[in-house]
Amino acid sequence: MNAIKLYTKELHLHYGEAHVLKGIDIEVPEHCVTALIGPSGCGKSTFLKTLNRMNDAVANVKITGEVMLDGEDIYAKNVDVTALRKKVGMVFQAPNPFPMSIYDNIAYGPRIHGEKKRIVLDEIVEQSLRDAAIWDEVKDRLKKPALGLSGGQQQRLCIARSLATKPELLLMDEPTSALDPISTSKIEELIDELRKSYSIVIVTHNMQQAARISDYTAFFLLGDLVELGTTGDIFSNPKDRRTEDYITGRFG
Amino acid sequence: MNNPPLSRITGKRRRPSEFLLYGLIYLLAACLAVLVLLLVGYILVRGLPAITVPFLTTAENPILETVGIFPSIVNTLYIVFFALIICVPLGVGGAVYLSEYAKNKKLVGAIQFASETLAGIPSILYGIFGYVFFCVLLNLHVSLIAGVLTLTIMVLPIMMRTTQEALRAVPKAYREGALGLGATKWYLIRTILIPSSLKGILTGVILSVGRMVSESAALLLVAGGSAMYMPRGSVWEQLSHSGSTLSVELYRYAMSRGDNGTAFGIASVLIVIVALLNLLTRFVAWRLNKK
Ligand SMILES: Nc1ncnc2c1ncn2[C@@H]1O[C@H](COP(=O)(O)OP(=O)(O)OP(=O)(O)O)[C@@H](O)[C@H]1O
Ligand SMILES: [Mg+2]
Repeated sequence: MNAIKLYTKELHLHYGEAHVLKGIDIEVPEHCVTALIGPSGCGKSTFLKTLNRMNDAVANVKITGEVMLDGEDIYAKNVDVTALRKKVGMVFQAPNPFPMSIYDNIAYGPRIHGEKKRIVLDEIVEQSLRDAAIWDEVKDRLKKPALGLSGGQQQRLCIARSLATKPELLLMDEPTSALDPISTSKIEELIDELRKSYSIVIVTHNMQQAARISDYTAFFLLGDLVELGTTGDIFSNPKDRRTEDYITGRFG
Repeated sequence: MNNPPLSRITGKRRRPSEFLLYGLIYLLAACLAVLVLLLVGYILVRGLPAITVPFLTTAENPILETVGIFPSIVNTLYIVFFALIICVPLGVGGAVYLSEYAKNKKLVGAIQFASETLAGIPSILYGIFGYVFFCVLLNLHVSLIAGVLTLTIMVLPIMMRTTQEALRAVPKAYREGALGLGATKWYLIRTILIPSSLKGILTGVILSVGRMVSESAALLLVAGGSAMYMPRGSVWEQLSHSGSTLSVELYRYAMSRGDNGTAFGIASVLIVIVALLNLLTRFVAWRLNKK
């Protein structure tokens, strides 16, 4: 088993009165893809957002427990959230390119973190777009608005944008749910490629996708982590009855 | 098999109520356009004869009995320019603070309420306040600078309002995307929120300019009611003198002298200035957007 990149202990999250995460203990191994599955509303997105503190801005949110990334507690007082989010990148469910050029979209992250040199930025932009398998489609229109791309291209652009800050852990919230089968398989191939250099946590509603691309699978239900195991075990030999019911489509 | 008849999607007549509604809307739009054209046309037709080179380039001379509005043109531009310089950053900053930083919902509500109320009160009240506060209390006397400050508080609510609306319209996904990459709030504001709100801010500027250029009552009180001298001295010296703007002059010529020809001449100049200022604002926004 690979080294542990991130783990949580007794992670609870409340939105006001609602108890959304009820004591999650999970381990995310390095250079692996960990898939989060579970019915709608069970807290997958919420959990993902606690891993790079995107929930901080929500009013009335209360988070307790530990989230340890490479041995550091990301909720400690002296954490630099900017540095944390450089290290932990995020791709959202709906593609959300900024209203600027393709180039500026990709350079956005590096610029936040202080990169100003044109040659360096050029290099990062090209490399990120190549890594996200979209370079050939956009290399002649880098100065054109990113909003002019198709949905599938936009999502790969957003992945490239996350890669540009050179994260170590990549969080993806249903990155293919809005895409056609061809774009989806491109992104799946991409994820397969990315696992060599990144650790990935991906939320998906697509069981086949989870089975295809992930090494580990975690099943969430109503704010609990019901079961975590290798994807092979979860899909062929689940320990918990509820996991089996969900995977075989008996509910959710 | 006994299939039901196919329903047809062509050849249907428009519903009469819809027809009526469209007709009404077009009629109203046409009325509005005609009204504007008539108004502008009438003013220009009556005003253009008064517009001569001396009219535009000299000051009024009571001895020679010549009419000139150059000082008022300069006063108007000064007041608009300096009031914008103060109220755009203040208004945009205030709006950014209220919608992005302020945590206390009650305070935000109170400020919102106050600024809406301020936007609705008659301008003469600003005039009285400005006179007592700026001219007397702060000892600025009746001067252009007092006019600038009075107009600033008058249009500040407009600037804040329009900017806030624009900020609210920026998609949440942009914020998430930027914050997710590690952007600080300020970076997000600078690189995404303000650029995306530029159109709204611009609307605020245009509305503000309109309100300032058309103001007469308040300015008569705080900035003075005549412009006899050609501008001279430094900018600061000019700002500390009293002077009337074009709207004030318009009022003066039309009301106290019954000189309608000159009044329409001034009105024509005003229309041209407002049109030019709007164009300029648009140009600035276009340039900013391109960058
Ligand atoms: N900002 C918020 N304020 C209050 N409640 C929230 C907020 N965000 C999410 N919730 C609630 O938390 C619960 C978990 O939501 P979450 O988005 O994490 O579910 P999910 O597992 O990602 O669902 P889906 O598969 O549909 O995306 C839901 O009941 C939701 O209504
Ligand atoms: Mg979700």
